[in-house]
Amino acid sequence: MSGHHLALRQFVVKVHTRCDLACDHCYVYEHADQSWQQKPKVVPPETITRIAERIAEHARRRSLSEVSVILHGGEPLLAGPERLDEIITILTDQINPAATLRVKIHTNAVLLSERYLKVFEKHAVQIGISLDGDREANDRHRRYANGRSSYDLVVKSIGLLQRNNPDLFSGILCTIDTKNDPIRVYESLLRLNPPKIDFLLPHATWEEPPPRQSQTDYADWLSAIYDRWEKDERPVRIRLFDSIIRTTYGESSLSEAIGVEPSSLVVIDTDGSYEQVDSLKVAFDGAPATGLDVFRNTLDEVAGHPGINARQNGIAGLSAECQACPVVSSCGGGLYPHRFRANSFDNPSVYCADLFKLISHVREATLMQAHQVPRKTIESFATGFGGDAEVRSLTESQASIRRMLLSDIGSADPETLRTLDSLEELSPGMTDTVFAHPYVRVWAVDCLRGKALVGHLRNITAAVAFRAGARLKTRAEVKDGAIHLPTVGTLVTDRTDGSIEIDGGQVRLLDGDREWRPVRTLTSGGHTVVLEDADPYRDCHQWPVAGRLSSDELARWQESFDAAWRLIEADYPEYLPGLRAGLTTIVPLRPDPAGGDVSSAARHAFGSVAAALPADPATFALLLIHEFQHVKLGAILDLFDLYDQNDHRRFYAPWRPDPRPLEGLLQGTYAHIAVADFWRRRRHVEPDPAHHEFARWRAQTAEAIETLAGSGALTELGADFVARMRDTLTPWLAEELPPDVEKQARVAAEAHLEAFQSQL
Amino acid sequence: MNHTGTEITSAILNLHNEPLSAVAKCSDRELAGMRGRIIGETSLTVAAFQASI
Ligand code: SF4
Repeated sequence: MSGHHLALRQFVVKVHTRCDLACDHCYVYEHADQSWQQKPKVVPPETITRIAERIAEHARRRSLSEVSVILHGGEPLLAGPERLDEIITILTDQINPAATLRVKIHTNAVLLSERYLKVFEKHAVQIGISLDGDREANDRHRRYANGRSSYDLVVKSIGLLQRNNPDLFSGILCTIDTKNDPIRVYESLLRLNPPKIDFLLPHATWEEPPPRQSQTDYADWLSAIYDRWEKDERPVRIRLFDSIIRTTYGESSLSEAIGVEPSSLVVIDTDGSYEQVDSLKVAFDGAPATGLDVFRNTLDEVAGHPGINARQNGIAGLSAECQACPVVSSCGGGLYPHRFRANSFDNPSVYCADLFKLISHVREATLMQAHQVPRKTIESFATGFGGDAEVRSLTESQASIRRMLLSDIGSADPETLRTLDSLEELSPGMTDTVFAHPYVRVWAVDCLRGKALVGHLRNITAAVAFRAGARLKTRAEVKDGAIHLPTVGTLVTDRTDGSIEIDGGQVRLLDGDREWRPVRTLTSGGHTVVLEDADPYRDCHQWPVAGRLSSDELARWQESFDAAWRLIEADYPEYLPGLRAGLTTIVPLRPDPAGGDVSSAARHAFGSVAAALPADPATFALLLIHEFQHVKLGAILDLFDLYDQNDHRRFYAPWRPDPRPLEGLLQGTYAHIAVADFWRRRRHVEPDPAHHEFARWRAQTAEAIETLAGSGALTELGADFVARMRDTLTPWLAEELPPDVEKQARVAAEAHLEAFQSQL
Repeated sequence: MNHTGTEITSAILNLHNEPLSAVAKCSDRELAGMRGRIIGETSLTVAAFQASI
């Protein structure tokens, strides 16, 4: 189904190997690799057909929804408009049935004319144009072989593009020369009104260092533009700066030049040979070659090539110096070819000092910082556990998420937002206590998706005022005959007007009192959770929620919770600190009519577990441990990408009849580590069914871990996470069980797989 | 910036000491990634291609 390597999504297709300019900084002609001289000038139709078939084949195998092809050269316009039309038509016809194809072209634009634009308009081709600044800056390098300037022609072409097809203009690529004045370059490019500017460091290696006057003149040059760009309120997207800002906030980079994202790019030459990143040409003659080509080799094989893999290993694939660098998550060691020294890429970039200074400068200038999580914390969760400090770090980031959501919603009700701010000043911490109620985020997400009303923000504000002992008159949301104040209680009313007054810890309807039901709790071993049977937004689980509990029912819940908690204290103490730090709420569900156990956790309800009253304390303990695994992993997935979100494949899950998407498989596997552990330790108390359950869950979990590890879709962090899950499980696989139990588990697993396969 | 090789930068901005109205004033650009991640479809954007011609 898939290889073990990340999918390729970007294909730089060389359509013409020659160029009409003779720029002295160009890596194709002016650097070490001279292999272009042996390739066909223009890509032949049979080669482009094969290229297109290979991309379509890869897209199908990897279930890619979108791929991009960048037409490149040499100068791709030299192929002529008819030939380009033919090339793009072949690509589109072959690839589009498999995945959406986006076509881009990178050109010097001197030949760009209406005839070309018609072709690009027909195929919606995005056009990137190279220009190094004003006339003086551009003419420093970008000239014809006879020394003639290309500036006027390029500017004229950009004008034509802006007039005829502004939507197709993707931006300007500007190679830096620090002899040019940075502000003049910036201003002259800005005048051309591009949607985006990409500043490129000249190609260089440690063997052939870039021209420079000082240690960090590239950083100083770029910082001058950065400061001006911020002062101008970022009038244009500048990819390098955007990438530094994004990576500072934990998002992916937008450029291969920096960042630690795995490269998904491969270059295909006019003879159909696959190459690694093209700018490797600066390193040595033949550096980009893979020895593979479209006629003999699939893109899955290319994805497994060591040269491509070397750029897919994230931070772990970098030099020791880069791995220990404080800005590595933004820098990623710089562009791969720039690291070349003495036959090795295991070095920082030749631009290291510049990158460090520029990234530090941008980070200092941007206001907000992202949550940083110690690697050890994630590793601790990955083993299946995670204690007090670990869960508290998740709690803090959840608080940030809720602040973002509530402030977004507050823009529709600024007055309430102001009230919340003043309540926060009055009684610091109270807002967070109320916001931390799991169903506040559930409502907020629904609200921002247009599925719930803004009015509940006033109920939340009233709850904060109540807890802060403040006075407040507001018009709260009435839902299903009640005004619910999260974490505080519910006012039952038959009115639709929710005007209420909060004063001194009392809630009153302005037109007379109705029944007030304070929130109820369950307690055991010094830990208290809210028994949530009233919040109107709690109904987000896959099972229907129960209504308000009678006092008898509440007593049964309390008794069962207490017994379950004591069992966890006695037999499962490793899970206790995490539960204490993070489990805040239990939502009663309706019992399963078929008599089974039902329980659930919801991605947006951090801290909450929902369940129908379990039959016995052991079952209750098991479901608390099991569901809380989902709670922890959901919060980790809020913070980090453990797998490629664009991978929509479904995988066999040994405990389900249907194939599961990656998140489902990961969630199930993570929870079942704890389930296997539960039964593993329970064998001394109730060998039957504990032996059987342990045999079954450890086998299923082990199998799912290997499916995840072999999916080819895990990020660097995800692969490490799954490897640690495996480390926890592996010793359990060696634990002895009665032989008949082992056999039954094996037979059941085989039968399950067979049943699954027979329905495919 | 408290980032070392032993800490990993998450995709969630640290807003938990920011007053709500201050968060509301943050530029869309800074919050966009986080917002998309929580409310919309999340997406790991794969690094785009850089080239000089
Ligand atoms: S700044 Fe230098 S040491 Fe740090 S990651 Fe970049 S190239 Fe490596």
